[in-house]
Amino acid sequence: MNKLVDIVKTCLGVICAAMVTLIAAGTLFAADGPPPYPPPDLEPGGLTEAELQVIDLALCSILLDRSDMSFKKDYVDDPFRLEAVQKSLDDPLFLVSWTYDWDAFLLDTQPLDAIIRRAADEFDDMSDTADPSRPPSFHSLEFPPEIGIEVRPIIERLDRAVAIAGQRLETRVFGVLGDESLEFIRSWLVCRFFSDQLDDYGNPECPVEETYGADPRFLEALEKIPVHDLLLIAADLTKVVEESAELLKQHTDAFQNTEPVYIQGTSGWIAIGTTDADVWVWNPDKPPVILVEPGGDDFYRGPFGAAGSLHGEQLPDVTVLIDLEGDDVYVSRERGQGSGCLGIAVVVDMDGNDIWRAGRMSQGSGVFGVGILRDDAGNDVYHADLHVQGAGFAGLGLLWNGGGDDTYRGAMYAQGFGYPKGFGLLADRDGNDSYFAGGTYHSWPTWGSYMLSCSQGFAFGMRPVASGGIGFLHDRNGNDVYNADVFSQGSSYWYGIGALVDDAGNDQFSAQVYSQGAGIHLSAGILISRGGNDNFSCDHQAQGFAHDYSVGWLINEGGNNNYSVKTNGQGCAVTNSVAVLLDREGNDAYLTWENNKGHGYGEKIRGFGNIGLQIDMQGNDVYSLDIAENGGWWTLHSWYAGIDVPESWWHIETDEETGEEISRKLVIPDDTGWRSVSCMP
Amino acid sequence: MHAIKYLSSLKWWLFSVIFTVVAFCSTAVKAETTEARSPETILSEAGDVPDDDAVLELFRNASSWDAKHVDVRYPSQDALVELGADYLEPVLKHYLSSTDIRRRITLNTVVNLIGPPAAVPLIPYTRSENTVERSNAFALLGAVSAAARQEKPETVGPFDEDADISKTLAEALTTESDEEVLRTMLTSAGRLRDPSWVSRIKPYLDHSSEPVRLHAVIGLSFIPHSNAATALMKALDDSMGSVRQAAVFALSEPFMCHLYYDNLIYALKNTEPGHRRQLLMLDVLTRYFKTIQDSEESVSETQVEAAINLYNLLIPKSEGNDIFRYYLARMKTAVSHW
Repeated sequence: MNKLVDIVKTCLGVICAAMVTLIAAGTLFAADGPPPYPPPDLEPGGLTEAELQVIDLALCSILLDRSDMSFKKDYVDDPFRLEAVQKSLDDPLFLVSWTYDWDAFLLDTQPLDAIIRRAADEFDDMSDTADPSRPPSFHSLEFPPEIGIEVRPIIERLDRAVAIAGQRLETRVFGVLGDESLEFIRSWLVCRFFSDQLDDYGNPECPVEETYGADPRFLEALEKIPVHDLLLIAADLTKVVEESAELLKQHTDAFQNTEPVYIQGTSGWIAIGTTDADVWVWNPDKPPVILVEPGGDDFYRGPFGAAGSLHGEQLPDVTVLIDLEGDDVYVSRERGQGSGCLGIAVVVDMDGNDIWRAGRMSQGSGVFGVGILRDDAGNDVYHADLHVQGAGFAGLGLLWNGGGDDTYRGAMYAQGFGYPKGFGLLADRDGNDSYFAGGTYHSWPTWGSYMLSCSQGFAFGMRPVASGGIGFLHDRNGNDVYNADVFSQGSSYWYGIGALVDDAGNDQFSAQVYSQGAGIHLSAGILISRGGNDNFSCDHQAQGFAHDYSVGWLINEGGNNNYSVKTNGQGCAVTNSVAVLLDREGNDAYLTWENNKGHGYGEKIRGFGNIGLQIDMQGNDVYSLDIAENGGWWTLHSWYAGIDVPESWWHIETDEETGEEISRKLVIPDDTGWRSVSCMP
Repeated sequence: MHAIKYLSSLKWWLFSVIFTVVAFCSTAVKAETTEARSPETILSEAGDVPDDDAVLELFRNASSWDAKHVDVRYPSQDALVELGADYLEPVLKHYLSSTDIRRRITLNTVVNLIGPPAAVPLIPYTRSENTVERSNAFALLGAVSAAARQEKPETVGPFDEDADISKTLAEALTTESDEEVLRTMLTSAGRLRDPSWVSRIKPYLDHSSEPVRLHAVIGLSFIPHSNAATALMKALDDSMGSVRQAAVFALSEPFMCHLYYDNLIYALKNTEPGHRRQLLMLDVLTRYFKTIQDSEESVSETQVEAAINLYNLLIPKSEGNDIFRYYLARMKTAVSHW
């Protein structure tokens, strides 16, 4: 009889496995179909031939050509410089193509593992360490009868994936770092990120470091950590998590339990919720390595979705949280909600209007680790403090939001932030979203009355010892509002790339200083808005601005736009830099009023100049300074220029019947003296 | 009963007094441990000859920008300047290659305020194996030279006080291979304003590194001599815009332009019309006139006449070339003032 039962069990197991395989294959195949959120009607972008031609003309008018933009800007070396950053400083046009390439990729790419793999390619710090030769020894899970057989193999697969990720993390990342470095980093990060007094001058409770310096033990660890390998481990895990989430979503009726259950897995505790509303309160005695929540409006309190342990923490090295349905509330005073700090955390919430509230290093934060938060649908609210919402430091932080009108609120280092060897990405697919960063940390002593944001596509280096990373905010659709203070909206400080791309919609961008396509101190910043009628306002140093061997771009492809900056903006390069403001279409208004520093501007310093360009390709535009005019070109010195392309330069072909424009071609009259890319003999 | 009440109230009174005293003392102790010491306290404790610790404490005071040091920052800096070059050594040893921008800025300020005597403790660091130390030492040497302190840019060197700096630079230039150090050396060498340095800097205009060429131009820009101007003219043909820009700026400085004005006009007449080199020279001329106008000095009639003749000569050649016409028009506007 027992034998018969065994045979039946085996057969059922085989059938289930076959079903899972078929469903998985179906899911993978379906991934090639249209994504759930159709992208806006946009082709992959880039500068047009006509725009390049006008850039050449502008350069030509100040007796320069494109190659002159490549003057040396990297006067300080360190081993942490990312290739994309170096290339962007060497060739400012590279920054534009790099950003558009990422935009084209994010327009259509849905599975997060592909995004993580692409992010890994930005790092060339592969280690020689191979994966462990033997996987961990797995044991079958003891499911209670209320958990249906359809979902058991999926959960077992998750268990194995987490255990394997943990083992690989141990070998390929922690093994490379070494115990001493690991211990040091665990305490150093507490000092760096959990101090009550966060400013440039450190936490008085922590060991004193030279300002603008860093503890050599930290630098050693930073150099050793193989971020590329780390991200590949996270990508493999994320692929399994995403596939599992899709499969589990199809079998929510397989969860018949009326109370949450805990199962001992190979990777650790596996918690399974009910289809009703559950309340999850963190239990340090049973920290769930995997949490599957099949339905209901759930409440989570505590560091759910946090991996890796700083000093004083007892968290798993790898963790996965999947919530399939419901309007959920996640609250954590500490880390949580996709926080990988010396660990990997993957959180997927597939539906509902959710509220996410957490402390520091949360909501898609990777610090010497990877933190992923994916929220597929619903109008969500994110509220967190420091290093949050797509923030990476020696790792990757990714916050990916599918649809809905979302609200993001972070204090600092948020919404696409990259610290050294870090990639922080916030990608929002659809909906009218609201972003706010700031309001907590003073910008003392430089801009004492303002608050620091360091967010919304911002990269930061540790001057002068460690180059910054990549901070990227990508919003694909909707009318969005961006609000920040100092350092924000496609800007960076010290050898990083800060990028903000908004693909469609009428958007509002508001900030104070060093924002909206600004490179500051040997760094690169870019803001691209690909459509809609936008408003840009900033106090100063913004809207295509660069300072101190830097590169800054603001590119606006469409719509009737308003630009307002008090001074030092709109294609303004100071202290040996390159800055460009380029607007492709529409009737635009450019307002700047103090010291005549705008509309393409540069100054002499350190014995030489800058390259500051303002270019408007079409439309009837108005300028606040007398120097600029619609259909004119202007320059006062041989280091900056502005061109508002006259309508007469466009040869427009129209449909005879409808009168609609079919094509337009830029033809620059011969008598301008602007002849070719090489400008003049 | 009254006595008990009296004692009871006394107890609270005593407790209040003790509490106040303890609180006051602990505040005082805290204040003592958290407040920075004034330079008077540091120096009076150090005695007649302050030791390295005292000097370094003064320097840390001077280079700390937080609220704790707000009252002692500048007095400490003044004290260091007063101590002078003889007490610079510990500061240079600890902070010449500091990555902390506050330390670097303060060190530069103190050394600059001490002036030429600071060259003595700096010179040994030009032989350091640390390239940052070498580079910073050379930069500071240029800044403290007697030549760099001359108010009038047309004042020509060399100065006797700078002999050791010049010798140090000359020796090091033959062996130095680090580009970062070379850059600062070329600038500092130029700051000596010694025409004999032109021939030693000039070869670096052909260096393969753009920053080295750029700093050769910047170095030459300090030397008020026609040979420097001639060398700078060569840089107008550099492949990089940054170097060309620097040459334009250098040549348009009135003290430099005066030295070769006739040569400039001659070159403008004899360059291919509309050639970039010609437009750069027009830019030089424009800047020259504009700078003099801004400084409210005067220009010789001969120079104005030469410029107007040049304009009349070139304007027919600019037909069909807006940029050429624009640069000519700009030059004419600048000259018209006179």
